[in-house]
Amino acid sequence: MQSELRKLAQRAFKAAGKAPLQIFLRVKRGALIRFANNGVHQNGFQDLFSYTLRLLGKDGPVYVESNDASDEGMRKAVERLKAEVPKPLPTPALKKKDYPKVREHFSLPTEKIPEMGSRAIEGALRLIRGANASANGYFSAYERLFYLADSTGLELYHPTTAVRFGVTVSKGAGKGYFSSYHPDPKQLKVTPVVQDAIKLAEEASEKEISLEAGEYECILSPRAFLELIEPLRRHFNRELCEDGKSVLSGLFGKRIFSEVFTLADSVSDSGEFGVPFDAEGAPKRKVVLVEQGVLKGLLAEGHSTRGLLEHPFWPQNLCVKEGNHSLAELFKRIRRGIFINKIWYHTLVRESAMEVTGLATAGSVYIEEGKIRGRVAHLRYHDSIFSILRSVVGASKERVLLKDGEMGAASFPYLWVSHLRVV
Amino acid sequence: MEKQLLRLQNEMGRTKCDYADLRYVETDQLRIRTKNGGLEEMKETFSRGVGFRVLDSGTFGFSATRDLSEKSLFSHLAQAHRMTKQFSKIRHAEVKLTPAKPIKTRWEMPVKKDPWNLSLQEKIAPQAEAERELARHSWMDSATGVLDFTRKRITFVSREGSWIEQTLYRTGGWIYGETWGKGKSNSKHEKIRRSWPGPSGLFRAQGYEAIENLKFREEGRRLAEELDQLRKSPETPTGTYDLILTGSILALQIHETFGHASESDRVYGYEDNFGGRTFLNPGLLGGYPVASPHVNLVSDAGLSLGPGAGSFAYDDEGIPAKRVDILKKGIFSGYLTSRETASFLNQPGSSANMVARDWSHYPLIRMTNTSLLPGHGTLPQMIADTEEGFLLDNELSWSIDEIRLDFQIGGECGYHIKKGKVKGLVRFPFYHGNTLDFWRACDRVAGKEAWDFWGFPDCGKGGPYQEAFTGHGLSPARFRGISMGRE
Repeated sequence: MQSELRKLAQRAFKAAGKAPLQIFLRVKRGALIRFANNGVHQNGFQDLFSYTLRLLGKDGPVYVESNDASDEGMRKAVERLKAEVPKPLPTPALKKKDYPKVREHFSLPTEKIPEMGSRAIEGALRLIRGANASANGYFSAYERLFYLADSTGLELYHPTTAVRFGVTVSKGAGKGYFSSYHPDPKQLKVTPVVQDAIKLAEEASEKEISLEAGEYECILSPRAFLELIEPLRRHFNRELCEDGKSVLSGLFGKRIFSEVFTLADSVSDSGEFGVPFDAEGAPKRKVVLVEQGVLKGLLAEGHSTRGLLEHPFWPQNLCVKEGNHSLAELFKRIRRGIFINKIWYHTLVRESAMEVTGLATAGSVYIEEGKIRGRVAHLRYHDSIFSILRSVVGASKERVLLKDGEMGAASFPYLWVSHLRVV
Repeated sequence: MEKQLLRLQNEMGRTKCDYADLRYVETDQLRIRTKNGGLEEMKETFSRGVGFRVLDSGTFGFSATRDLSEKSLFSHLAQAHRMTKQFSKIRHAEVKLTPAKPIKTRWEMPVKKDPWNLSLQEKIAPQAEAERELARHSWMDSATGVLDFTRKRITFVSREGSWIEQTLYRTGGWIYGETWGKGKSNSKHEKIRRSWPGPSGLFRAQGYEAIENLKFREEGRRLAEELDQLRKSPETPTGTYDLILTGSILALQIHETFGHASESDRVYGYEDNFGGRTFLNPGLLGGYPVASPHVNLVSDAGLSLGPGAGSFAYDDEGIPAKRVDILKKGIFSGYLTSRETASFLNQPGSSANMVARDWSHYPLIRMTNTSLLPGHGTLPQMIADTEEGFLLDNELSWSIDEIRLDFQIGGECGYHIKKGKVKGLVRFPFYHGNTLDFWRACDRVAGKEAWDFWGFPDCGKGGPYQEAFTGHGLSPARFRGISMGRE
């Protein structure tokens, strides 16, 4: 496939003549199947392709994107771009090309994906019906290919596969949500995910608990944590920090979070997956953003994707260091707290303090003296991300791999925090 | 392409299935980002492809491709059919469609100025001028703007004999200024933003005239004045106040509460794993007051109310746009439906609300133009008649629960009203409540003079995730006794 993409790129370079063109090709093939009330209600197979051409103008980059790979289509795309940027600036050559080696492509015959999905969902539904429960969820499997080349001779190719299964089981009024993702279809864990979701739904179905407003201990699931820190991501941008426009400006080298909290952006660690280059072709490298609570690293060009309107500067391979206790042990240590399994409609209320609000959902339960006492009836939090992460007490030794956008993945443990403000 | 589509229509006719359709879609999109009066980034996108839907054994199958060779197209039609077989044994419920008359027509959205006929400089001129006006103030950190143009040519072809060609336009844009004010705890990082016409723009089913109507130059001056005031303005107090909503933030309030709640696929759990469910159960239809009698909400993708961003002549199931009452004098009166959910609900036909982002996505039930019909009076009269309250402009944050009841919405700026007069601005206002209580507290909707269309480009739903344009016609509305500030 790489040679086919190369041929396409060469046609674009030929049409562009001497213009310092960059071309980014993306292929995506696969299917997503959704189910609700124990039955499939939607399925869709997609065969997608697009290429993005870029020229740097004096005022900034200009992009033309198309999926018309015919000679005529490609010629038109190049002409449109050249018309908008008659005097393009040269493409700066990359100083370093030490790309991390990431194997993210595994055997996934696209024609077999519907069958794989059907088998996975059928097996899951058997377990769920057997537990007298009902469920909604999804199965998806995609192969994605990324190819980037520019007029300096740079050529990069990264093939990936991703298989995902997620389920929310309802048992009475209780709910339980778990999901699994892996690039290797053989590593997808459907049965354990369904069993965990059933167990949680059963425990949550016992009793409904209305929480008084106030501060609670909390265990955040990896999925919940990924959503929680979303508004903070862009602030790890070095340029933004230096301009005084990041909430982290002036805090470099200072303690901002709990000393048991370490956060990195790394595609190179063992077990991590993601595209090893950014949209300008620069190699990604490991950056420890927060080490034992201290702001230690920021992201500059070459560490993450930038440009291409829909991909702003962004850490794409976030990892949080695991702790020493199992999740079950963390539960036992909670005196009066909440397990937040999934966050719903998380929004930034006020940027300066990273003040956020949202709701806990899908298997969020109240814990007292180490035991689940029932589901939380309705839980809206309104707190500051700084304040929440300053109160991290520990992390589980289990880490969960999560797909994070098209080009990255995150890996987080369950986090135990001592303060979350419930309203 | 026409010959290819005709052959595919014949093949759909030969296929042993209950129903089949295809959409061939060509989309041109142009997005321009400007900063302090100059171009910052521009992206032009062209996409074309075909999406097939086949219904057999009570199950839909969908397959989409960008490869327009005959071999590929026939193979994806067959793939959609295979998907029905693959999933019929584990289907949710037997899908039956309400009847639809085959339609053969061609329709083009009327636009005055095709954005693709204007140069880049012509397109960005008003916005750039407004940004320069904002940026000339020494305390202004940045002035930024976005213009977004979409032109979509859709050919819908069905096994039932429909052949509908339509060309749609969506145009929108926005400017915003940013400055830094004293933080809540004297932090220096207190960003204050003021945007026009909304933080993610105002979109309409128009050409470049939509941008001209935004009057960026005049509004840029107002934004600068208000930003200067906001830098020194107090925080919004906590308490219970009367609230007047207008423009983009009222559009959002409609959108997030009754808009999404009226999508009938949520009743059947189809959005349970992403978009959530709805508190509007079918048992509430026709007799349950969910809002005050001042509230009349309709869905209408036609152009009779105006060029809402969700407008079209036919939806992605080939159903002609029609008006449907969602709330009539506060009584829940109807859902947004597809041919499938209309059948579930025993309704005679779909409300024409099936929309796909493009050829590669499965059509879903979407808001098109969900509008609050005008009442009486004007905004100045509403303000004059308010003892103490806040007029909120432009949304800054929003969060609502899975069944669309409990919400918290924040605004960019609040105008503090005391004894019928605006006394100044407040920063970071936010309010919270319950959809039913909130809309039952609506005691006034302004009249036709103040009525206009607002609209968003990015209503997210579904899996794979897809965004849609939605329009919201509205006049300013007042809500009594709303909780504001921290709970």
